[in-house]
Amino acid sequence: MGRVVRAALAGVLTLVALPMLVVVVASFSAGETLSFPPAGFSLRPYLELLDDEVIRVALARSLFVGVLVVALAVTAGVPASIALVRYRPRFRLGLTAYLLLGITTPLISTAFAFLVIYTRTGLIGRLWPIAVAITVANLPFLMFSVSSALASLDPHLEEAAATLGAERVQTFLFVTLPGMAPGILSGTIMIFVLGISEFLISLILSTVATQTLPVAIFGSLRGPVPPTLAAAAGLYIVIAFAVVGVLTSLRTTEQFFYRND
Amino acid sequence: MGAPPVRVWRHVVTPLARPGIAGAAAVVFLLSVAEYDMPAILGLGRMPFVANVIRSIYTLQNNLYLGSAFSLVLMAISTLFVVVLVAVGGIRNLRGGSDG
Repeated sequence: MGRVVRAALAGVLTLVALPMLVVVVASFSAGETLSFPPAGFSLRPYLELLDDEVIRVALARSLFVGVLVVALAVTAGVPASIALVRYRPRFRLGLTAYLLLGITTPLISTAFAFLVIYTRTGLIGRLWPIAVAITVANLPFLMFSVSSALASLDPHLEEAAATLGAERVQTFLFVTLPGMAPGILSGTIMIFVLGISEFLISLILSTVATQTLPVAIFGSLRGPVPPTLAAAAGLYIVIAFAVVGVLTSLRTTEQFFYRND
Repeated sequence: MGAPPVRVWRHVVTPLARPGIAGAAAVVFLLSVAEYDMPAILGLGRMPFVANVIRSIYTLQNNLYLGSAFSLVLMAISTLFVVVLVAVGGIRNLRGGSDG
């Protein structure tokens, strides 16, 4: 029993990490085309990445979309979660289901629905409408995280603050917000990474002028694959880790800050 | 109270985790059923999933109506699956808990 469990565990752990390992190793290959195991070790793919105008611009677009998705999702998702969890509005179950439409709707449907809308309104060929579509599809992921942080925050703390004479705004700023901050941060991490790596919606809504990095990579997958693409993927992994690192340390700072208060 | 680990699992842990398991199953199903990029890249275009078919109906055949009909069917299947999971899992709120 113990050995079977251990073997299964090892298998799962390997499978989960494998894509990342392969991409990172392959991104240092010396050859002209991507091969695994790589023919030799070289930093050249990363240096070529700096020269590659197409990939660089696509990366910038993806990062822009990611930031915009975070801004939109936090603006919409945090108040929505507060309303659903704390104020228990009428038709709460219905409202919750409605806000979850983003993930119950298959991405392909969302993408073409927005394509129809954007074609009618002439928004095709711009970047921010893509971010809006991605936000709609991924908002539930942020809301899961924020709502669960909020639901596990003891409402008595807020009542206590009110009893002690805090105004509603003060209660919100100094009790509710710090309490749900871990949820907001992990939701932000998740939705940023989802935003920069989103593929299908960008594929359908983007033109040559608005290609994001995943779409650019997909486009160059026909024919021999240059190691630069693996380097771009490697860079993505670095960015994802950096975002997680920065936001996690923010959280520590914030805890420190509020504890000393 | 002397219950062996297997019975603890069967009667305590699993029931308590049920909403969470159902919620996770729903999310994973929703993401997989409409998968586009894996079949497109790993299937070399030879084993299209429903999302790939929908896209080719829209873009290659340029048939907005048929594409939308397919999308709606896929949406109905997804929604049905989620509704069943929510009912079976006893999910009542966003965090997948079963309380009020």
